[in-house]
Amino acid sequence: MKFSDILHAGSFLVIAVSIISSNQVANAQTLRGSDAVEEGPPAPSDRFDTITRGFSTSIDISEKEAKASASMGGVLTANQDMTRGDQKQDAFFWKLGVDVPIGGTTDLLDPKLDVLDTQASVTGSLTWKSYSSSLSDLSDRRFDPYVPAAMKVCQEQKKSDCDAYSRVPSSVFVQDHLPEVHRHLSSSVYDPFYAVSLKGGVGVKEFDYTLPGAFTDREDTKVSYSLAIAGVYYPSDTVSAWKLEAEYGSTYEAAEEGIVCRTVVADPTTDCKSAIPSAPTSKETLVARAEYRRFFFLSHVDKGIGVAPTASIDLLSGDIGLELPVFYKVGSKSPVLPGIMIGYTKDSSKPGDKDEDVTVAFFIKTSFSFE
Amino acid sequence: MQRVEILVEPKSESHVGWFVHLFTWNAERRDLIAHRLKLKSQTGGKFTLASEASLPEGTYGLRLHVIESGNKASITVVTKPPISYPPTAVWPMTVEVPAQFTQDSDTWFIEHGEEG
Repeated sequence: MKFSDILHAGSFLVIAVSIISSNQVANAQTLRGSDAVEEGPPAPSDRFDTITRGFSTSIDISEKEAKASASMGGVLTANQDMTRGDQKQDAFFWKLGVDVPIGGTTDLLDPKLDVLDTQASVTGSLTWKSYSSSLSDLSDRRFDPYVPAAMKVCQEQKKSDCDAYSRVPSSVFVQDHLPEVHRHLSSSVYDPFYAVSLKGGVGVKEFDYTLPGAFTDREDTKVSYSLAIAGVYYPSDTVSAWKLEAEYGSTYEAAEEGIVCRTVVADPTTDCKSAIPSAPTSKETLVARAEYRRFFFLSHVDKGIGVAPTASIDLLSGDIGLELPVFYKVGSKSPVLPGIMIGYTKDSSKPGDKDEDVTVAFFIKTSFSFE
Repeated sequence: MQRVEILVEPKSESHVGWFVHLFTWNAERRDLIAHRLKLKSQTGGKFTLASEASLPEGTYGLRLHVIESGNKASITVVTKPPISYPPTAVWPMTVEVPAQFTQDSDTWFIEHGEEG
């Protein structure tokens, strides 16, 4: 890891602190609009954006750039089957989003290898989800051994009706007095659910470069696009999620910055400068991406550690991106939710000794979420 | 004998991501009878469910199951019957899925047919 990366991360922390002090609802990485109705505070990068209803806005500030986002979405069609014990729903959701870079530049790869990451972009997605619900836990004997402990907790907390265990299902009594145990046995309470999403995006970026010889500055606006299909599986443990995604992207890459000079150099200080010497070149990507999210609660269901490792590989170029955010959730009402984000990229377009980058960012208030 | 009517107020204002179950539970024999609910009406993002059949007076279980982090819904039995369990509960029953979980639920028992 480069020292400059750590320094950079430290400066980000200072920025984050100043933002939080000016806005009570601020989030070190995301400032949410008051109209956000569906989504809770998102985790960095907002990757699980398959959950979309209502209107939301955000400003994401990372260690390398800042981006303003707005999105809106809703239910396109929905079907319910409310049969006796087992109920099912499936629905199609739509979402439209806009992302605008508002500061910061970097020549580092995005750890997710997202080609539209640093561009002003418009995205649209269509997501199908399938849910189900049952009452199977009410007859599940696995909760029975925990009833005495639940009753003890009930009595210690001087709650009324601690003898209700004889009238209500064990799973209900355990849920009310031993929520951690109930979560551990949640696979007997809840069914897994699924989402499949199609997403497309178009981005625009302006590239500046200086032609050698003529020594004239040029601007070139290029349009990029990406198409992705993703599947998300939410197991019945209620604390994890898996996402697999394939994304095709067509974009443009700026050339490496170098020294550009006039054809005839009389005075190097005026006839040469540091600039990008050529127009951007087109690049295609085919990225396979896998992400796992998991919350590990500690002594209580409100306290724990969340992780969301993501691995991405561009099958065409060989670029690799890894990202590991780790969140510490102190409690349900804690104003401090610290975390650390570690990123790694291997850029195959760079020379062998400069192709790897590691970034570290600290954040002091953000949330782990499955959205 | 009357139908049980349940008013549902989901945060999403849509009939997606939440489930309501009405059931009878026999603690001695551990018998479970789920009573079918049908959508009776839908107005301004609020939904009224009603049991398909008129149900005799007695104790009934009511479960609200909400799916997806940050999602939230509240339910109220229209007649606001007494809640026999949990003892300190008051209407409405609200479930909001915490950010660290993907789904959550709550289960109450009500005395159908009695005055609230």
